[in-house]
Amino acid sequence: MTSWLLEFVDLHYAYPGGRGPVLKGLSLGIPEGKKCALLGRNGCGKSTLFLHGNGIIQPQQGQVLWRGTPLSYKRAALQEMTQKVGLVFQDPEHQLIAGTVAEDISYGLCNRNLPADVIREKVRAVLDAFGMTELADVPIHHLSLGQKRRLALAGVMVLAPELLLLDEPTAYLDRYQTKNLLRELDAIHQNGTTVLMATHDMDIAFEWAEWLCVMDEGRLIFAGEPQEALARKEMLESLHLGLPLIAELWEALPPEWRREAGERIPCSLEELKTRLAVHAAAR
Amino acid sequence: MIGQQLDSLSYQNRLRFLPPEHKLLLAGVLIVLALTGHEWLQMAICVWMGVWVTVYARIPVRIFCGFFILSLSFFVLGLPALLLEAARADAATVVQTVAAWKVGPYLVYIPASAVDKVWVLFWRTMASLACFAFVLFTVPFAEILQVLRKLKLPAIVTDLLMIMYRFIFVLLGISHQLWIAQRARGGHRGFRGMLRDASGLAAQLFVRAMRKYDALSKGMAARGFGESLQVLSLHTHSRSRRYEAESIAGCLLLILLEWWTGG
Repeated sequence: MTSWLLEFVDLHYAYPGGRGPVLKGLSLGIPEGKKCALLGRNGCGKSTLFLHGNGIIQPQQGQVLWRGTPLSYKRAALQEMTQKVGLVFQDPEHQLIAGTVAEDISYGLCNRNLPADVIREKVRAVLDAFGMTELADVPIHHLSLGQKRRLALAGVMVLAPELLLLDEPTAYLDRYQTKNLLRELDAIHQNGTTVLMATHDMDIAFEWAEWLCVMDEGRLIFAGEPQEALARKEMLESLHLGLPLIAELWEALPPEWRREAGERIPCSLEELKTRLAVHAAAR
Repeated sequence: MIGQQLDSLSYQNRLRFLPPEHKLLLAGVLIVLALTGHEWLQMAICVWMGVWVTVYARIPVRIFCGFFILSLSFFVLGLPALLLEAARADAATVVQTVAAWKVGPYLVYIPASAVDKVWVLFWRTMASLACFAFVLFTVPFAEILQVLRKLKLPAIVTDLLMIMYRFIFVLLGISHQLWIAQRARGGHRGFRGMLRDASGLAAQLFVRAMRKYDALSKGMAARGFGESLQVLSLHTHSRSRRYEAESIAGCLLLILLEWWTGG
């Protein structure tokens, strides 16, 4: 059995004054050590779920388990949870607090009351890892959106969380920045952090993730390997998520090609190219 | 976006490397001198601060003068109240006047003593503004906050200042976006239309500020907000013997000047 790092059990939540519940009995487990993507249309409750992930919101019904133990909503325990579970918001403006880049990265570390020298050293290392060393003393309002996103991610990663939750991290980013971000996420994953990214972009989710969850209207519809999700084409279409472009392209190929090149749908353009090349050589 | 420009300048000025404590101390000493001294001293402070800002810190002269013009416009607005006096023409006491007009049964006049007072006030204002400009253009706000923290100002005050500083730019950004959106959708037609759109913008700004506030408080909780907002900067400052010598010698000279001109 897969060991769940973070598990949501039968969550119910409605915002005070909202038009009805956002989460309606959602149960979902995040497998440890995997690159996960949470798919769902806008307004299906992804952001609300994430706020439950590190205890900012307490569920009105149901439980959140961290490595099998229910979350405690006491102040000190929550403080510890914010260190284990890093949360990157969709709008970086919502989590950047200090005046300059270096100061903002130091914020999470200062909250842990570390000695000043240790903080400076960690801030320098993270600035270096994210290629932001020259920006250290630049005020935050001078940064572009892409840079603000990177800074928000750096500010969370400096705490070395075990689980990283990202809310629509690729929204409004151009192709180049999206590629960079995915590369950074891969590096973070390789260093041992489990990553869960909420998105509605099927192409990115399918290319990048090892584990897919699909939610709709506050409930979990599917959780499993990306290939399993693709096998349930009707489900994806009924939720208007559509198929990834690469899968549609694969479907359009002559059936005998597909048979000969192996039935598995390729995840990325690179994989498709190599398999077609091998197939062409074999003919 | 004057605010943004001011902020960029303070981050890029050539005196950025000097310790902020020293710059604030110099400005503080000079403000005390300007407020207690005479006109000659105040004129000297204006010139000297002008040299620091435009020559040493390399702030464009145009922007330095613009700052003075903008700030002095408030002084000019206050002038009528300082200069003009009125009395019934038949009951007017004899004083030395610079100009006088008869308006009905009243005599409106500018007494010579008021002109002297305005002269004194003008130079005091100029000198204080020059010191303020020096701080504004050469010390970034984040560093002022650090000095305030070192001075053991209560954390609640520095936290509030820091959040206000962040919000100024967030709100400026939102209002700029809304303003552009209104124009792009055919708003700002005529004076009445302009007023209506401006009031709409103010209302929207309030709603969005509240939403931002809610989101930011969640963001702070997610980053483990403790009891106070603490941050550390990587920026290191280095002392400069040349600037230290000039500021100490300058201050001593100014005190001598004040003593010599009969302080």
